Amino acid sequence: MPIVVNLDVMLAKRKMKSKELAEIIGITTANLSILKSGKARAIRFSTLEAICKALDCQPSDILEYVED
Amino acid sequence: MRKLIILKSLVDFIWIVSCIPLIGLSLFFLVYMFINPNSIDLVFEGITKDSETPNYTKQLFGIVYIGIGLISIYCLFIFRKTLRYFQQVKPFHTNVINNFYKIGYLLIIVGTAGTVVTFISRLLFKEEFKISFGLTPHFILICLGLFFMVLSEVFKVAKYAKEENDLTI
Repeated sequence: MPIVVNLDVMLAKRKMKSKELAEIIGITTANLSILKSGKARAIRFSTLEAICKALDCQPSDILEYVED
Repeated sequence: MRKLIILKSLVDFIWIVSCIPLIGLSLFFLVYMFINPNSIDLVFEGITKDSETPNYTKQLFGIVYIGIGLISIYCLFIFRKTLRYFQQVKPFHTNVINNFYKIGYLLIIVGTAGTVVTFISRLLFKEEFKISFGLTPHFILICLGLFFMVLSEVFKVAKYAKEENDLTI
């Protein structure tokens, strides 16, 4: 998929663990892992909003379009 | 869930009480009709009555009828297996979709073969040309088979939708 999820990069920048983020935004670590690995087919606006709020960033910091 | 338990119990009851003995009887008769060809007249009385057709023809029809019967029993066996997946709360398992398709396919074969064999046997043994339109058991079987095939397609779509939903974070 040409959409790349840079969540791990943002997590490293904010020095936050996946488990902490999962707790803050209210999803399971398994689902966060799916999101991080790029296996997710879609992301809800509410989840994106919660991630942006927790990491204090913009959606473009997390999602990136890279042509195949 | 109680309905599923009732259905599973009923199917299990039919399986144990009638299907298992029927498999044994069918296999026994499959051999016995070659040992004693007159036995076919007793079992297939309606079909072979007042006819002077050779034994091998009757035996051939006997084999076909037993084959159709065994396929029908196999359908019930697959259905039982599918119900087990429902009990394990795995309704969108790939095997469920495949089983529904297989049941549908086999039921269509049973219905079509039953219609053709009944028509030919009437023509051959009773010398009567009879085509029945309307609600015949074979026609219902074909409809049921198509329904199971449609159900398989529906489950396939549902499985895809479930996967999409599961992978939406």
